[in-house]
Amino acid sequence: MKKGLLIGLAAATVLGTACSADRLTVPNPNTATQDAAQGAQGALQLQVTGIFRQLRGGRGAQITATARFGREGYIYTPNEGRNTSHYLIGLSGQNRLDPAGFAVGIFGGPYGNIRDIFVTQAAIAGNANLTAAQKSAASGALRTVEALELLYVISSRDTLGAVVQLQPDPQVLAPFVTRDSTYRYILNTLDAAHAELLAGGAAFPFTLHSGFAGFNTPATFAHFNRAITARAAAYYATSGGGATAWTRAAAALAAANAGFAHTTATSAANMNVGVYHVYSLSTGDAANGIDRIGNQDFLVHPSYAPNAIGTPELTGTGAQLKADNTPDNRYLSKISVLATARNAPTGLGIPTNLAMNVYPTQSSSVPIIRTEELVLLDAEIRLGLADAAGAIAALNRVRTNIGGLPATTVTAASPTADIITAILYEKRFSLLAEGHRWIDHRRYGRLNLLPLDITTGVNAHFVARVMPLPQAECLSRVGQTGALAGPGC
Amino acid sequence: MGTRKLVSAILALFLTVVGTTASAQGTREITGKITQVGGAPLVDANVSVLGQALGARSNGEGEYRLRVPQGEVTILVRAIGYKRQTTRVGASQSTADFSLEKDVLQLEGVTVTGQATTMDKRNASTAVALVNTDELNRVPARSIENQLSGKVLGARIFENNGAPGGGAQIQIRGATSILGQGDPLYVIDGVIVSNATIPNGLNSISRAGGGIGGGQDNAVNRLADLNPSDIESIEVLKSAAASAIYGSRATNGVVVITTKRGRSGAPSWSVVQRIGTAALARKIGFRKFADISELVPADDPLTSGNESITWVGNAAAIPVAQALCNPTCTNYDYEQQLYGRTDPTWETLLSTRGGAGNTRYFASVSDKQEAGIMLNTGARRTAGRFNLDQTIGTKLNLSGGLGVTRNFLQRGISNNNNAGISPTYDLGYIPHVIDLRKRADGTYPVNPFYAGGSSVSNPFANSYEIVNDEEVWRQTGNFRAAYEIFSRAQHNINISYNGGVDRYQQEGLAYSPPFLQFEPNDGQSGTASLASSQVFQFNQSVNAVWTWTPALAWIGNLTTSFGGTSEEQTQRTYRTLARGLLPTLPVTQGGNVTAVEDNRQTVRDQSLYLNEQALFLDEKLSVAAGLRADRSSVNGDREKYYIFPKYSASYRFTEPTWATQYTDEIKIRAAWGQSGNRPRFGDRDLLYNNGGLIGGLGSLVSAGTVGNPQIKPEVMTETEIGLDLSFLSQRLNFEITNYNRSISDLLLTYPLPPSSGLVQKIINGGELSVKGWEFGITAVPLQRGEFTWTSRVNFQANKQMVENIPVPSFAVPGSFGSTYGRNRIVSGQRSTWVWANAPLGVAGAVRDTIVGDANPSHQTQFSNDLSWKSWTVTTLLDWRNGGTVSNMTMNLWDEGGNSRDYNRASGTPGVSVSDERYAAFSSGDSRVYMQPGTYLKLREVTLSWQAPSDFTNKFLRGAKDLRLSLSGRNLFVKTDYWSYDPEFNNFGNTNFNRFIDLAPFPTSRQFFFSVDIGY
Repeated sequence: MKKGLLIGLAAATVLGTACSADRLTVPNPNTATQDAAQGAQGALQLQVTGIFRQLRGGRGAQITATARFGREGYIYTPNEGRNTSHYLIGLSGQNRLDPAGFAVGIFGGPYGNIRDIFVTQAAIAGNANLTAAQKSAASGALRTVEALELLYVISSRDTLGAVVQLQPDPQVLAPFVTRDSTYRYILNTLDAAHAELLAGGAAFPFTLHSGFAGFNTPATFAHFNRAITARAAAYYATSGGGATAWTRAAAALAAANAGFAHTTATSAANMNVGVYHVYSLSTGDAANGIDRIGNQDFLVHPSYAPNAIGTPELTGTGAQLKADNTPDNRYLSKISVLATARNAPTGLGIPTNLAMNVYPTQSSSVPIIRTEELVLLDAEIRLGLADAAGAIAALNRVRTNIGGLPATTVTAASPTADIITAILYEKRFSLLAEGHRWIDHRRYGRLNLLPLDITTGVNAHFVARVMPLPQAECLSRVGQTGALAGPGC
Repeated sequence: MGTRKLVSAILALFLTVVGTTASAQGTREITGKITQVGGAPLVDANVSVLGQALGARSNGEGEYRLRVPQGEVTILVRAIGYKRQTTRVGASQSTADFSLEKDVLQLEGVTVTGQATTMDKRNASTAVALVNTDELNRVPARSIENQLSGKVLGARIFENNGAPGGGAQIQIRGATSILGQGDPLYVIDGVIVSNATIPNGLNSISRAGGGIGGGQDNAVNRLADLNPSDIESIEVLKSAAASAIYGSRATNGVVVITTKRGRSGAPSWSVVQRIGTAALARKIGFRKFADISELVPADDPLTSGNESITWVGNAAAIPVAQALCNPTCTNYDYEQQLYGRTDPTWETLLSTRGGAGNTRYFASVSDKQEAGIMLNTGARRTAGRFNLDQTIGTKLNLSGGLGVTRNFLQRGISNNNNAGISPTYDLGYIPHVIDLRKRADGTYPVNPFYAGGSSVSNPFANSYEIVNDEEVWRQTGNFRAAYEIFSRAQHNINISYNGGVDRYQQEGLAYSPPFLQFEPNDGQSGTASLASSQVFQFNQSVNAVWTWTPALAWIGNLTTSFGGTSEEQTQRTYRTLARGLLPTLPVTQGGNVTAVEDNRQTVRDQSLYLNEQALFLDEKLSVAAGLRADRSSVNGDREKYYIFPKYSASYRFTEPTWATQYTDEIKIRAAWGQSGNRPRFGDRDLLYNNGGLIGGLGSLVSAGTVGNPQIKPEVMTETEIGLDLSFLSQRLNFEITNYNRSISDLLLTYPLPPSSGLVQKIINGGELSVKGWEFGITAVPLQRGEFTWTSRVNFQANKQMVENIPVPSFAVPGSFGSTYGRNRIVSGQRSTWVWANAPLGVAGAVRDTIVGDANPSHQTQFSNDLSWKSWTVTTLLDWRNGGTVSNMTMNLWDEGGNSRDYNRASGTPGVSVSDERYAAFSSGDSRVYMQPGTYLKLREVTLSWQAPSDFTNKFLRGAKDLRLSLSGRNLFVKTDYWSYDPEFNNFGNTNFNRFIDLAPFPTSRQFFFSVDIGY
């Protein structure tokens, strides 16, 4: 009996030790908890880098989605027809995209980054180690990124509008605002960010990655801010903003010139000055992903071939070949001709023997914005402000210096529509696979001019006007009214 | 309050109370002999005083010696496989002999009721599912789950696909969780073992999903490491009332496995040698091409742009095709060439058991080499086990076991992929007109049938050259010490300690050599990944059991037990992935290491429990009640105990007045209980993720999933009522059970609007329910002379519902999109509905809607055993009625224009049935691929011959026993299902979405010849 009691007590002691509540405190070694991360040394740098990393994360998909909508190219994955059908065909016979399909990107990603920008801004505001100038600089940079992310959203959703201000509690729905309100929010945010950058002192309290070389101090980042502002204002001008927006765009572009020197750029090196996403094959880093090597299914629409027939942009803008009858230099450098044509899976498309070579290697950088775009934006803005001659001069500067082509046959006396055609022609080659053509065609009401490869049958193609909201967004708004209901799916 | 103090205080109090009520009495000895009907001595039968825990065991001659209290006692004798017997032994009587009858219908046995308590099956107040070693081991299988298939009423058992080595899922009474653990808890000799499925890294080559390893890797769940021959019995605790003893890990039921233990008597040896083979059970078949006009349509495919056949888009393939089909095409049966392997499977089992004095032992070694039907696949499991029981003095019992297993698997490539390497996937696209087999010089033909060589490959080259090896070394150990503190006529107190360890190292190597056709696609030829996982699980419990047998007419006995448990599970997984390898080197070093994964998880649980079970009214009324309090490191509040209660009762009408002449016994039983399913590791944490590098700088980004510091276990509440009927001297028995389970506080992800910038938040809420019926009939329809026919029918059906959810309806994670069918969680709808795209009305808008139900209307099994003299035939038929399957394999073959019915005309002129299906699918109607999964399978059949002893003596000197058997698994499958097997699932073990058939490893028929020799 006594022995039994002893054994019992010994057993109880063993179990008691095993049952100490302290043993239940198990840390999570795989990911940092938010509280732990916020207070850690170097947290600001990591958070800010995370924001630029996320900005990069969405770029490839933004380019491949807009490239397919804008008939710049295809993703002909042999075993995955949806990479073709969900962009070019949509829901068969309905001329619309599937909200539960593939073509719903450029939405969750940007808002995810905006969430992190808000989280980081709160951390910056409460960081006692930063000076007022440093806080101002940091905020200016982050808000510029916020506006850029929203610009990606609204340029893919257009008249559907967008959510511009996130709620602190993610379970609380934020209202949708109109396209007009969204553009105004973007431009005001960019202007406010610009002011913050100008008040940001000599340096950021963090390091920007090498893609920001030349734009990595508050003063030079401000040039980047102005370039984005010029793009946003030009988009707004052709999306309901009108003349005031053109004026705003012109002012921003002028301010950007100090960093980009677009007014004088002629060489390819000049034209490539800008801000880039950088890639590498290092462990933990990402490869380009839309490059000639890493994504061999990224092909170019056959209408890009020299003197391809039936492309509206080829008419009336001047010769498409250089004086020696060889193709445009941009064609030669950005497009590879394949020995054998590639076709879409299962009759979803037509063959093409052109492959995308805009990004030749897995470490090729992808521009966020660069001078060549600014020169052509300059042309657009000048035309918008009734300076046709200035517009033609700007486009010719790209056309002759970069394309190697003779000057355009369009003159200041030509109808405005023809001058727009001429600008869009240059953008088509100069900014191939940089995420513009589809948006530009929509802005100028020319989506109907994009080529359709298949016009009849269940696989008939159409040109999407906007990308749908992801189904999850619609589902979470079921039963809501007014601005909370959003545009639906 | 310190738990230590609490436990000590309770224990001390308990001992005091018991000590004062007991009184000492003298004892006497009873001896006797136990035989089976017919005369042979019964070894290792258990003899005890009715109602008392401890007893004696018969020796090699069937003799026993039992110490009993003074006065008249009732002696109970039990032996596995025999019907129990009780006899009253008078105060002056000192001998008692017993002769036990065979228990052909398995009415005997005990059921687990607690950490340290059991109860006779006939008194059980919950439905009991027991499978013994003979029933389990009739026909060998890849892994133990398959051997249980059709034998556990209430469990659905699925094989994930036909790859060697195992991989199967057991789901008991429906899905109980959406995101939480969906597998039952497996307990082997008191050790809670890991049944984790740890992907190995095939994903890095197949690119089926993100990450180095993925859920579509066709990895095995680790129950595959168990040698089924070592098992004595398996009990499945189904209802919450039965499983509540395992607290917050028990909603999916508990599978309690007991391995063989020593028996007193001279050592006996058993040698089993098996040889077998497997053969492709069904072929999908393929489209036959007569000549070039079928292969390359007359209109120029490069300009028409509207061809429905993928590969003609490749201009380079046309001249190759023209050369191959000149003037007619030769059609190659790729399935036969890839999956036609019939190499032998070997299995050798050697075991011994015996005992002398206070020591009993069981030891076994086994080696099984299974050949896969696919080229270059196979599995080899080598295992050893040693179990020892030692009694020290009269009061202390020690027992322990050790098991060591090496399991080596080469499961080949199967399932989904995005790299063009999964053979069944590829065969859907390649016209079968070119001989792609390995050439005599070791090289492989280039597969021409795709443009540009992107994601195109030769499936034969892939099968031979891609390495997908997995090796596991596993050790399990258990130790139990039981001490009888106090034993008197009316009181018996035992305390026990139980500890168990399960640890293994799993190493996965995946290697795709640089020269393979598809490898240069990403600019980096060659892929290698290494995955290494360490799993360690430890559990221990301390238990005190007090059995009170009052000398009262209406109380049989009362058993009170209490104790506590502590558990820990640790898993560490490291993986590296390299692309762009040096030639011939399969290691990741030397290539570009593009990803490294390092994941570590530790979960600790603690619990306290108190159980009470009692028998009243001459053991007719059985009552049980219990409480278990659990806390865990994965709960939001780590210090809070969550309580799981249970109550159950049964009553046996042994002499019903209204039907005395027909009924032997009617038992009614009712049980109510709660069990839990704890949150997952990390669900409680609000997380920042590693965002990776950009420009050499590290980053942090918010995790899309927001953790919840208030997260708590899911709770299942289940009511079970049942009726067990026995007729005709127990030759006909019915078991009827109705259960009604409701699972609340579900672990859910609240889907956040994408515009919030986050993806989801983890919450508790909502309710699932499962309502179902189980019917079992066991009968001996014929027993005449030496002929016995035993028959069993199991029928099960249930209805699984989402009663309500506090979140918008959502698709269960872990599947494809609406195009391919998946379960959706929608309030008020069945959780097993299959949702997919379909047009509403004629040519209506395409909507994600209900197109089927993955849950069959019922699953019924028939097993029949016929024995005549020394011959035995057993069969097990499994009938599943309904259950929608998403036939994505067919979708692939239709898309590739390679389906066997490609040339069969449909109603529309010029359009084949295959084209018609694919066109319907393309236009948004996925219903064409959502097909019924009804089947009738002959799961098991055996013919065995037990050699007469004179024969054995003549041919095998010294042998006592010789049995020869021929057996087969899945020999016959009748189903209208189009591809290999409606049972398979691309994602392996999953709570929902268990119906995605996508390019699986094909199913096979398996044949075995076994020789069992006993010495």
